[in-house]
Amino acid sequence: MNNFFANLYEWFGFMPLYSSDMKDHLKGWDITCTDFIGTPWYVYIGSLMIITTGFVYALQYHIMDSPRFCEKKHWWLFALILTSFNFLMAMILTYHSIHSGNHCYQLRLGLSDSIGFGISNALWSLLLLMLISSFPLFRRWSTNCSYTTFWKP
Amino acid sequence: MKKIYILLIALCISSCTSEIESFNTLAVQMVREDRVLDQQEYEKLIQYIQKSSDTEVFRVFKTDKASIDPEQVHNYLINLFKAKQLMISSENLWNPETYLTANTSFNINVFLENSASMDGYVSGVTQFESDIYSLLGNIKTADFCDTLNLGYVNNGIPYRKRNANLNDIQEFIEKLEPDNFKKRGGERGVSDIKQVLDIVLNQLDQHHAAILISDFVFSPGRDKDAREYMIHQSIGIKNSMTELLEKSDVSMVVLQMNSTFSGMYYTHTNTPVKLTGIKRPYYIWIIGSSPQIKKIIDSHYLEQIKGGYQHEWILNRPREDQKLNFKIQYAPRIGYFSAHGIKEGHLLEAASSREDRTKDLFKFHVAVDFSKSMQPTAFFNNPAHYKLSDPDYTLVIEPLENSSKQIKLSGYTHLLGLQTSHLRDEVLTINLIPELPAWIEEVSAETDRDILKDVAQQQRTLGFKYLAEGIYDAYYKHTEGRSLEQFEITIKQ
Repeated sequence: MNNFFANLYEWFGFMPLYSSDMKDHLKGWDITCTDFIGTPWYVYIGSLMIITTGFVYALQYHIMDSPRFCEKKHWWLFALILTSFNFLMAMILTYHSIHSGNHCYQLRLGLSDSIGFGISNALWSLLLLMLISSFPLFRRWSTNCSYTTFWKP
Repeated sequence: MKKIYILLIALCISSCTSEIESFNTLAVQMVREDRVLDQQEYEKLIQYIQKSSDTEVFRVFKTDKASIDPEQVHNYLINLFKAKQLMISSENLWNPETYLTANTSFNINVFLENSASMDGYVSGVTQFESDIYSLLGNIKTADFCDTLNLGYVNNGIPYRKRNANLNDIQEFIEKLEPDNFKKRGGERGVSDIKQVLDIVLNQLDQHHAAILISDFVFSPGRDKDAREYMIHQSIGIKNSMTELLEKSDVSMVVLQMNSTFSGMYYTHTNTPVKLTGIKRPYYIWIIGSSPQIKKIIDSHYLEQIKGGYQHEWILNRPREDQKLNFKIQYAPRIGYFSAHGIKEGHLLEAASSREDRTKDLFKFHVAVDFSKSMQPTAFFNNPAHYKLSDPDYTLVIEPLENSSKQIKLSGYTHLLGLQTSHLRDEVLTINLIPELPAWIEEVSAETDRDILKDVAQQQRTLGFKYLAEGIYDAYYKHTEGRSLEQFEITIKQ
């Protein structure tokens, strides 16, 4: 699971948004610099990202399910809230662990790493929302928004 | 609204702490107030590890056979407390291994060679007597010493005082005079060092260590070729030691001392030569099992000998049962390697540096714990004692004692820096090679023909080199190719 999220957030090695040291910290390199037995940030934040994305999707399509919020501009509004939340959540939580010294002292970590990880988390939440709302598989159960995607109506 | 969400998520995250984080929190709570981890608290932590369902995370505390390794737990806790800025010394962390070894005491047989050549060291009150008195007094009162037995040795053991107390030691020292040596008897006319050693070595066992005090001067006799005699003695000593080392674990400390000598010195042809007020060497050999010798060394009583020793030489066989504790440091480094695998001694995805300043260089550091070795720190500070399997690597040694890095690298004694400009896939082996110390040659003499006038000969021991080579060969030539300490690092690009 850790490797699955690591590959996602590191964009399979093609788009590094943060340093190698940050990658190791997010994988769970522990405070005593011994092994990957520390907090598995990738798994925790990745899981939260999936949950919040599912929640925001459900909010628009099934919980609120209101004709007043079924245009694509509303979709993008929900997406903005979701990505903002995921960006801040990833950035703040990881920066807090860095700032409090709760990491292996050999890793060189900074604010830019947290910002990069936040951006990565936000991008994946957006992509995931696009994915689950693009196909009618789930949204067909919506009463008023079954035709709403990020490109229509 | 966002702040509330963030707070909720933070609470959610914090409640989803991993088991190792909970373990860390528990350990820190235990020591935060009193800075001590007692036996009860230690056992509570062990129970936590045993009951944990996350076996993957807690594997760092376990041996290959999945039982808990107290040393791993101890090292982890030391590093954790350091990382949390809790200054707790190793002694304040209860450790079952320390507890078990603390109460193991043994007997010590002290043999003073009383051949005629030793008379000059004991005429009147001499440095020799003060040195021996201070050493025996300290050892008698040590926790590890059960009983101290005193005796003379030459071709037999002509005198023995068993279970000596402090008064007995004082009397023993006060009676160190040529007259008493003669009175105790034995074959004082000839020094057969091999025979003396055989007698002492025969007294060794798991409950008995030995201290042998002698000038170790060969006396070939009038009609013998001195050099040939000393070579034969060397081979005989080597054979005796080799036979002993095959049967049991024996380690040795050889101290070279100095004392004033006033009396008859017997040359290699047994001709007496009167020397007065000359500084001459003598030797204290401490022989026993490795745990016994380690205890004596760690007590630092040898450093407390009144006049001090000139040189020290420690001999021990490579440890087969104990793995050297080392840890590859993730940083600082030149080039790159993955953090995965460094715990197992592997540098994976290794790559040379691409920066202009350090182009094509690859460098990493390894923290090593040599504290369990019997060799002194100076041995590990000398690059000449290291042999690398790849000669393209250069080695830089940094002792961690009194270093600013000591706190972060607690539990390790040295930081080794290894650098190459030819990075390749390989298993890099670092060996510590024992060698015959240079001072042996300096204190050894090939002849004592002119000892009356030659100051250099007066300050040396006839044939000591042959004796030392015999012992060295028994310990290390027999184990050629095997080093005192060794570790391997697998490098893969």
